[in-house]
Amino acid sequence: MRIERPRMRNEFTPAPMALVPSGSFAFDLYTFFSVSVLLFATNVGAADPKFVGSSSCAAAACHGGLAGHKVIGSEFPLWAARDPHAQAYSVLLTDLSKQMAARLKLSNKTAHESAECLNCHSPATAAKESTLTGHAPLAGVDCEQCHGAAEHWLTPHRRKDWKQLSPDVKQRLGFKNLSDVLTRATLCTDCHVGGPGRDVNHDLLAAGHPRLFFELSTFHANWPKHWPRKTDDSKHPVPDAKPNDPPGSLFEAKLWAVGQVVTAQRSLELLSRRATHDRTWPEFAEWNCFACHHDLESDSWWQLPNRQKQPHDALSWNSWPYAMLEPLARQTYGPEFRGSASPISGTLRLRLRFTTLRPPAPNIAAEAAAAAKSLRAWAMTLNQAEPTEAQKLFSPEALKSLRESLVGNEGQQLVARDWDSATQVFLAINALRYAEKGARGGLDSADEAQVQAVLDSMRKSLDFQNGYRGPRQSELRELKTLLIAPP
Amino acid sequence: MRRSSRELSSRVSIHVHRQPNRQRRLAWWLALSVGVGSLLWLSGQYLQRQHRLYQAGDVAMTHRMFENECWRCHTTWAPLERLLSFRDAFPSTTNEQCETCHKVAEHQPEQKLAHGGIPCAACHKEHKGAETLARPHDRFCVSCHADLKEHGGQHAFANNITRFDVPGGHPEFLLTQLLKGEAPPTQGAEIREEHAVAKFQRSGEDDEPRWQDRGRIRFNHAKHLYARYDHQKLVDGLTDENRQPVDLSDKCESCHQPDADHRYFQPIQFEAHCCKCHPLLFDPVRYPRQSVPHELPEIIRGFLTETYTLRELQGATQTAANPTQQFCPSFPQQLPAAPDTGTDDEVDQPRRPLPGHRDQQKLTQAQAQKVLTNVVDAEKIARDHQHRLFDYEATGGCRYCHEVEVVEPQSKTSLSDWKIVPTQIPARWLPHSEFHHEPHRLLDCGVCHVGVAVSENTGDVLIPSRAVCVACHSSQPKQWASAWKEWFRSKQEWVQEREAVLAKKRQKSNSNPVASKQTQSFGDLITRADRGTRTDCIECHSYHNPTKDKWNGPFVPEIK
Repeated sequence: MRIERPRMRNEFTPAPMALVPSGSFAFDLYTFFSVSVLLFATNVGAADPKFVGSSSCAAAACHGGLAGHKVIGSEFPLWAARDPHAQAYSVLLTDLSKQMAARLKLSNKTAHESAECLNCHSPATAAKESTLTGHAPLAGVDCEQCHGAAEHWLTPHRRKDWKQLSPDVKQRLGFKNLSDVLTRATLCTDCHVGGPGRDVNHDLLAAGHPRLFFELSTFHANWPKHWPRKTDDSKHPVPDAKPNDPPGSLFEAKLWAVGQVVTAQRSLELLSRRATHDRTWPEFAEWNCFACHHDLESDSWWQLPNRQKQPHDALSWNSWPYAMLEPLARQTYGPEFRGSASPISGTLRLRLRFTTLRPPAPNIAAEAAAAAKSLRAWAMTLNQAEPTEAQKLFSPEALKSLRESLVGNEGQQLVARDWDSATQVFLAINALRYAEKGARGGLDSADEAQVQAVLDSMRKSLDFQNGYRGPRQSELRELKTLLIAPP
Repeated sequence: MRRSSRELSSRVSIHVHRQPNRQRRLAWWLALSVGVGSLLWLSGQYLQRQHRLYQAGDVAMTHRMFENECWRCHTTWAPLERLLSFRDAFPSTTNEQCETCHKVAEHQPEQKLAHGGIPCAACHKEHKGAETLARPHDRFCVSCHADLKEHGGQHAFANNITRFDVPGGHPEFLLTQLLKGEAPPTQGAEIREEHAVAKFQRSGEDDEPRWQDRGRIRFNHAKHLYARYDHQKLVDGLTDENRQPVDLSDKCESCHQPDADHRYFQPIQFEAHCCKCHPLLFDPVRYPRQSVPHELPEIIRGFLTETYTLRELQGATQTAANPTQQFCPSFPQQLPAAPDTGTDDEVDQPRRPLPGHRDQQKLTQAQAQKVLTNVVDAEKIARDHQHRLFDYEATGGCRYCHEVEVVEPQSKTSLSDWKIVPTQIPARWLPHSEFHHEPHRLLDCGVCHVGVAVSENTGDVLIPSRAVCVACHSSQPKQWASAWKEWFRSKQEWVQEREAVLAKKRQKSNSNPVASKQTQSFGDLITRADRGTRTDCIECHSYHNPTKDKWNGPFVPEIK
């Protein structure tokens, strides 16, 4: 395949940079004019920018250095070697994918040619011809899927004054500001939660697709990165830190909180879409998996005494995206977190609707859209919290109290709900531990070892043993015991 | 007036023999009285139970445990026989009695029968009090070695050895002869294995073959002993764990540690001496502080396979609490923080577990392929890679020190396709002699091992020659000063040549001729010395020669 270099409609002529010292007023002036010309000349925003292909980034002198000691300069090889996103396309060629394509009766018969799969597994391949200048289909989820289609920003990106440009200008050129946690969370949830054309619904799950249970903070931690980890931390410093304090970072805390809210928001948007457009309503993927998929053994988790007392709870909403909203809202809004002013009130109302198998689709669609909107506003507040607000929300003490409430009564209630909520509690305790450590400037909290011990036990209890078998009652009891008697 | 014979004869009494001779009588009576007096004295001593008179001298300290049990050694009437026959060579004890306790090796299997049957007591004189039994006089050795041919010996080094500190009295060490390029006496014959510590070989592709250390390992003494001072402040040298220059130029003992007897040195151990600065890192990104064990390639591959498999299955990010110390106890517990370059970050954080199904303990095909790729990559790094760890000296990789050979693997996944060439580092040099480093501890190492500070090549033989020994071990050291100086000059030429090469490499003058200076002062010392130290054969050689294979192992020399 011939890969062309990106070409501007009007070639932009770089100025004699050597004559303009960087940092000077002349430089700023020059940058201002050159960017204005750039934006005007490229007619940014007129149409979707084109993908230029990751090979444009992978030159040895740019981001294709030999992977080794240094991360900067070796981003492409690091991504190619370690990042599971690099394998996103090639999994479509496996036997399982072929079987899934057959079961789903896909439009193009094969997974690696069908838009249903490619929209997530290789968006550039799925893209229309008009949006491509060059792209290697084997690349899976490559550079431009996260950083933005590079038609307009590739040339300025190579220039010395690139770093002087503001994130807004870069965004207008198509370069996404991934330092912003909300942008990052939204980008990840595009596929990991779903959206238009990217719906992992019950059909797909039944055909063999793994369930999407996405928790941004944990996934982010486990993700092999192609950038120095500390750059994330350094871009979200603790506000008003004292000079002698170790350099703390709110990144982990923000990532968890914003991740939870955005995941819920995107799930609600997906729900709204499913209720509006899908021909198959009710969409089973919206319910808790174990509501139907549970074994018939006597101590199956689903056959708990309290559930028998509350028959309406036999069916329940898929709690994975929403489990952590209540603890987070309580932390933010205090005792009134369930009230009508709270951003989660809509979500809480929706939960009740899913105790029946056929909730009315139009109502659901409208309510979900409204609830998503309020969650979006909340996510933006969390993301751009004022220093004082951020200090209040994400101080080590606040994070610790949230963690302790999850290890205590609040955690017990959530664990009693279902496996998804229990697992979210587990992940949240772990995430908050790291968030607290980050906010303290890398120092562990005093009860670090005890928390680790609780987490180890919880993890064992939450693991599925083997084959088709859900969690046991005895394991739940064990979990509750763990949380009743916190260290 | 004439005298008649009668008159003359009348002057002598014909009864002269009847007259008593006073002198004789006096002598006779004296002898009798001394004899009788002695007997009376002896009897008196005996009656007074004073037995010391009848005994030989004190036994050696080691034999005092026998107390009055003379029969432990003297089983026959040999002492009386020896006394009566006045034959000193006649032993008063048999070899069997000595061998009850002392099992000794033969001196030389080809000794003639008459000499082969030398009784132990002929050399080891007992009843000499504190005089050491184990230090026979040189005359016992020289009795044969002064003219070995006459005594039927087959000479390996020299026919006539008379005395160590006399010109021509003792040959130069064979090793020195080989290094000088002088034809060894054994030319044409196979070099005996104990001498094969040096080999006739090339250092590099272009070098002329020469005699050199047979060791198959890369070690640079010059690099490790380098230190540069500026106004008495150390400015350049090796770097320690605190990233400070460190001067090891007079700290040979940091690697060469004495053995239990303080005679020789313990073998160099990677774990004790090398890994602190040269950990065998294999994955600077995922396992920046983890090293592979200093083991055979098969074991290294096994370790890597396990590490990466566990990583795939369990997300284990490290294999031990303190990864580098796992295989390297001397590795510093705390390394200084890396300088903040903004890019030296590890790529992977510790993984956070996601609960769920745990029944898939097998690797999928893709995972297995990934493990294999990782293992091959890591193995390549462990074999070849050189890098710095947190800006701390950490040049590692097998190939950095060892010769690595590519071999045919027995199986694609289990066995490695490379092997390490055996190092063949000699455990002992000059194996025909015994040396004791401890009494020489007052000397700087470089006094005898001249040039060690400029030696970059393992092939450089740094063992001193006879001229160095005889400078002290001589009755007249002054006589040997010129020989020592000649040897030292020849060494100095080599040292200066090497120094020039090093200075060019380092782009600085080599201001560390510490060892040379000390050697020079040693030279001045011996030119003024009136008296030297012992020169006995027994100082270096033992009569009962143990097998020498045990030091350096069997070895078939290759002379090309």
